[in-house]
Amino acid sequence: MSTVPEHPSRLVLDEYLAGTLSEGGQWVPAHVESCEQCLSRVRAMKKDYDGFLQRHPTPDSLGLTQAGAATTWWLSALAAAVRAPRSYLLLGAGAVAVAVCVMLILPPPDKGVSPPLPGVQRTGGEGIRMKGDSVMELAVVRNGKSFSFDAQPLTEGDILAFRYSTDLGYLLVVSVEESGKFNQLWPAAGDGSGAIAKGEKLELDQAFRLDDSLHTEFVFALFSERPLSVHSVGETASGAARSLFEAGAEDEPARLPIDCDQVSWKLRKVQP
Amino acid sequence: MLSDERLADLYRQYGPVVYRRALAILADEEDAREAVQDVFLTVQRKWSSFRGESSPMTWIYRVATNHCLNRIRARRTRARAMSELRERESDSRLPDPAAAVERRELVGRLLRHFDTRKVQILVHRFYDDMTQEEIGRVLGISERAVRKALKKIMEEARIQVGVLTSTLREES
Repeated sequence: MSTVPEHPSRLVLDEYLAGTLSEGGQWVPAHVESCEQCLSRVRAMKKDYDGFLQRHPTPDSLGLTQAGAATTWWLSALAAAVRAPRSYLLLGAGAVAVAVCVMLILPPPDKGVSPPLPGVQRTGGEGIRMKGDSVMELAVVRNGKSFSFDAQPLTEGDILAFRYSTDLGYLLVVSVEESGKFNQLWPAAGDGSGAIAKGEKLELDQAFRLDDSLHTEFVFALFSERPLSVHSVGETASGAARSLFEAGAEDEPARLPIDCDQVSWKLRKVQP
Repeated sequence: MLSDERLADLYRQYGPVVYRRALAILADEEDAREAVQDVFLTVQRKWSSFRGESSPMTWIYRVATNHCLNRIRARRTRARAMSELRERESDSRLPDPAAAVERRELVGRLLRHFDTRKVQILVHRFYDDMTQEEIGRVLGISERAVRKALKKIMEEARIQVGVLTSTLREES
């Protein structure tokens, strides 16, 4: 049997204000009326709530829904992918990757690089999974709309764009499948991490379009002070594949036993 | 998927709660506004998985707390927090910017030592003043599981304090 605490928690006071108290909270209204401390808390909460709704009466009034600055950063990532001369070379590497990898290098679009942006949405923080001080955001572009990746199932044709913040000078993006199969995604070639600019919210110079293969894989962005060897990262990732897929704690970002800043995502591809 | 009308109703009822909570945990108005939008996008997307076993308030508390902790986990805490503190010293909208940044730093440090579930429990216990039964209700776990988790957290905290103390002794 639950005991009645001395004062109601924030949750219970919120339920009281919303008029959704459970049966166990029947003591709360009388308590609030007679307790100066709780009455003052409730008044402050009510004042805050009313003020917030006056300033932002609808979700749209938050000013973030349509094509905000944070929404469209992936466009420049796409533009960079197309502009960079080597992306055409990478396209060749992408063709090889069709057979072996869930991701393809984004081919140049037929006309320009500025698709229309109807109803662009953003979801922010949950598209960010990290361990360490570096940050990598993953945006998914689907049918001209973008959203932050939040473990949603992905489908063929989805475009993935990355943005990072780091003080470290090297990056390696890889993926590993349940079978232990390892894929090097960025840089697309070479035997080590690629040099990157240090700074805040920088777009990766390459975006990826998903092919039609259906499976789940972990993608890791590995930030380091010195280049990591693709070969040794591949061995480590392949060896860790089983434990990665067996781990049940979805709240915790997956991590490879490698000493570097890591960001990870679990990507699951399904039929459209 | 929720209709726009239903989402607007939920926003009016719970939006201010999410904002106040996000502001308390994130200590940054812009971050808190973004968090509100993100939480409601999550609510819209995951509403069908909400089965009514708990109240919408407890469910939204869980979504909001989890989202804010993920945001803090993704922040580059210390250096940025200190520069923000300097920038916001004159910001009168937050009652105590120094305390706010300290709180966010504390949450950031906790996230380095404990998994998200444990930090959720700590936030609910020590920030929200929730009882173990209430924490269980929000997180969808038993009161006994909450009690065990709190005991384990305290033990881990003691071990970490012990490691720190012995390291300091070795260094001195």
